[in-house]
Amino acid sequence: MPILTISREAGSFGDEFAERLSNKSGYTLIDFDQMIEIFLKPIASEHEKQMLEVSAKYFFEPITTDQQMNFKAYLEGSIHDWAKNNNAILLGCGANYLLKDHPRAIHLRTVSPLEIREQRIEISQEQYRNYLQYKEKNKEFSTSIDSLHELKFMEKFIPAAQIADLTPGDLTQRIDRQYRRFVSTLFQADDNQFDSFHLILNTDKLSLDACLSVVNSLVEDYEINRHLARQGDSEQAILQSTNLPEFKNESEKEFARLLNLYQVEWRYEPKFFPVEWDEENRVTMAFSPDFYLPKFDLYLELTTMDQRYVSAKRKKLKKLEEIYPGVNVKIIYRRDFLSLIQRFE
Amino acid sequence: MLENLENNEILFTEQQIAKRIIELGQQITQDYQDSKRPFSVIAMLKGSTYFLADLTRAIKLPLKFDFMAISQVKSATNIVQVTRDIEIDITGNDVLVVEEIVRSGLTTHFMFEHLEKFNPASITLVAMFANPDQLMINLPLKYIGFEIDYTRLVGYGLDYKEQYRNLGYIKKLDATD
Repeated sequence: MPILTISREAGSFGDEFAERLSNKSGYTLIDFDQMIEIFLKPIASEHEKQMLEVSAKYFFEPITTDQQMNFKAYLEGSIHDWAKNNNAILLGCGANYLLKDHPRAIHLRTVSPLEIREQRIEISQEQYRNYLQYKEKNKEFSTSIDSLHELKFMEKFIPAAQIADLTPGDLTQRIDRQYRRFVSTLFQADDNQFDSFHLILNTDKLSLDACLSVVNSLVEDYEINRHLARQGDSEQAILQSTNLPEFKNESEKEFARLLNLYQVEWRYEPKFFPVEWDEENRVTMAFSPDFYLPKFDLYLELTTMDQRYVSAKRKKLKKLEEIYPGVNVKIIYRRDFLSLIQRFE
Repeated sequence: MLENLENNEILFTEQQIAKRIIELGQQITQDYQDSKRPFSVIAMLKGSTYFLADLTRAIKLPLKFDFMAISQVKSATNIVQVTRDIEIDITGNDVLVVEEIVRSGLTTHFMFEHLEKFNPASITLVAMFANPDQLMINLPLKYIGFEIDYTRLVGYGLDYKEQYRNLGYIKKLDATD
């Protein structure tokens, strides 16, 4: 399972989405405060943790135990190590930059048009005012209502009365600014530059259920890639390219079309299996099957063009089966291929 | 008018086919007779028509049957779609899919994917003819009438350009040298 990071605009249901995703997937949800608690606990005093929660600049202060290292560097190192073997949903805190290019991380962002976000913040403010009234009567009262998370987050920066009284437009801007400040100070980045995300979810157009469904597909895709990476020699794994497949010949193109016809999911040459090495451990022979069908965990190698290559491919396949016994490969011969295309002639 | 395939070899006679269907019917009856779930048989149009008719009469169990059809729909992507869906309820049923011939398994797999949406309790496959060497993907192919090779066949529901389906026997399409 991957690590999911969620960045959000104010009022884009990012917190609600994170909560729902956590409930559905069983992943632990870690927000900004929890991240500081979990990852910086070994080196930060209570005072330092409080400072880190309110000041992005404080992340550049050196840590007590190592003057050469600041909190930001320590956080990056520890979160990278942790992410190798753990699953979680990281909400906010620039996690998409902390885990930028991490092979186990999927970066999501929730957005919505400003007008919609302001309407949602206005509803949250009404709830927040009720919450303040209850709290005034009972000091111990607390709430975990998802829609109040953003407003409660702002209590660190502005008085509660101001959160309640600001116009929805002003409050939306203040929350956005706070989110942006952290990312720009720590990473000199801007979350409105969308290139760091795998997926941007417009919660004005998509229900949270639809968002969950889309993310579920993304996680399934990730799992297929992880499965491919683990098969055989993981060092040689080729994770799915975002480029369109470049078929070597017309048969491969036609075969892909046939699989599409039957709505069978496929990957083109996703994996490279070394099958022979020289004395210096350099790969001298390898087999990269043409297609992979995730649903069947099956590789297919087309031998439709020049039948002179059939025996060479059989030899490679035999070696592959010996070296990688769990890998399932089938050769599609010309007669198989012709029989397939005859159906729709 | 197509030729009558006089010189083409008969691969399976009417008698062989009838005998084998009785055996398949007995086997299926035996396998499902203790199940308390309703039993449904689904066949793909058009090739399986004769096989379905003969097989269901050889199965000595209460059952219902229905047909489905798929076709390549003309569109930007030309994907295969269900053009005739089943009308019986198969939820919680033991479902037996009847195919006249299974080669790559792609068509049958597509049919299975569709039927699984109706949440049957179990789903297995009987094919009158199958070429295990040609099977590209794994299917629950539990019953096979006759194993075949790559030879193109006609008769007993199998066609060449919609002809020869009504032959009571199976002939090779390509003339024997």
